[in-house]
Amino acid sequence: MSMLQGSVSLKRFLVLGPVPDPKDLQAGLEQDQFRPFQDGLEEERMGWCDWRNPLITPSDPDWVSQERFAAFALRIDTRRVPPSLLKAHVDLRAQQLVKEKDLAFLGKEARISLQDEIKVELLRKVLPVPKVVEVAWDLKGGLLWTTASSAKAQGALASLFMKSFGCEIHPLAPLVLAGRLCPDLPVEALMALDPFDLELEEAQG
Amino acid sequence: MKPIELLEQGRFLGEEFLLWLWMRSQTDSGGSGEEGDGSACFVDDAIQLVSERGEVKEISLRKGSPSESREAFEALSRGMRPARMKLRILSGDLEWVFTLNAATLDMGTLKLPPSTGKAPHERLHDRLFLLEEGAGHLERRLRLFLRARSEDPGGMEEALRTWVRAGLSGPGGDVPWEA
Repeated sequence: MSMLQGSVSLKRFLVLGPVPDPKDLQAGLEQDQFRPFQDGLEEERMGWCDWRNPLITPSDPDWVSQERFAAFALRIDTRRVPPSLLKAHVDLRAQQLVKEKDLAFLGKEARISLQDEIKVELLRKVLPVPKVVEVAWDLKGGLLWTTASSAKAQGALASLFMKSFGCEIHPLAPLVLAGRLCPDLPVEALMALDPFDLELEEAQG
Repeated sequence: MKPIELLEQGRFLGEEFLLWLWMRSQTDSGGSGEEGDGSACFVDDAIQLVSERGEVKEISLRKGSPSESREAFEALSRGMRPARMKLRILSGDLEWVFTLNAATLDMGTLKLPPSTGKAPHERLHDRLFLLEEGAGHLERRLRLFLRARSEDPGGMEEALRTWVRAGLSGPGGDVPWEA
């Protein structure tokens, strides 16, 4: 799914906080740009990238600015070693160690250390799985359009958005949207309404 | 109030907005009710109804014409409420089709009118414009719904009850939108 083609699932957020000028916006995108995995046990990485292609980092400022929108993307990479494969490797290496060093068994701590060592080796061979969430920030309207559909992606977007731009984002749910569309209707009054009861007596019989 | 609390507190309004759109799609040819607005909003071929009470907590009606089906009105008359609904908005020769979530008002699997842009930025501008147009049609309706809902809740509830009761009589019955 993409904002550029085909069908798209969209979520909108209200952006709360000062709108950054183009320089600060770009600084935020560069500061938290996507950076590929290095050696280590890290299984997830995220950062901003260009909306045209997730391999373009940092986002090209000439392409970020799209009329009143700032367009960019959040790339979330995950890499995992299948637990059964890790266990198989650890078992085999543990048996070798016990034999080589003539041990009765391998202690718990030694096994954990061995497991981490093998996991780092295997993670180097695993190709990360990228997920790209597109973002179009309406800088004048104070709204954020995004293709982030899962709670996890939305959470990641909210936390990185706060870190990079100092702005909070709130889902544009009915009461929030009501406050925007009908500012003269107090949200408290809407919340105080009783939900309709459409249950019909004849249906209960 | 935390966003999650706001979401939960406003869920009933989202559900009732879907109900209102459903009723208007049958009784007012899907019009928004706003003067000069020629757009129309219809329920398409998928409705999900939920209830916290009763033995059945969720019903999904798909394909055919679920919005006119007796099953749908029976579920409504038992107090079930729409959680998701596939909608089709028409304005001139433009068409938006999407699934509206009652709790969040997210637009899922949104099909936009075709874009004419060739270059990526032209396409993006086109699609953003169309996204805003589609959302605008929905928001215009939501604004009218919220006004009517808060100004005359009793009148709207009665209209919905009458519509549900008429829907129970099924096709060929004395339903107001076929009068």
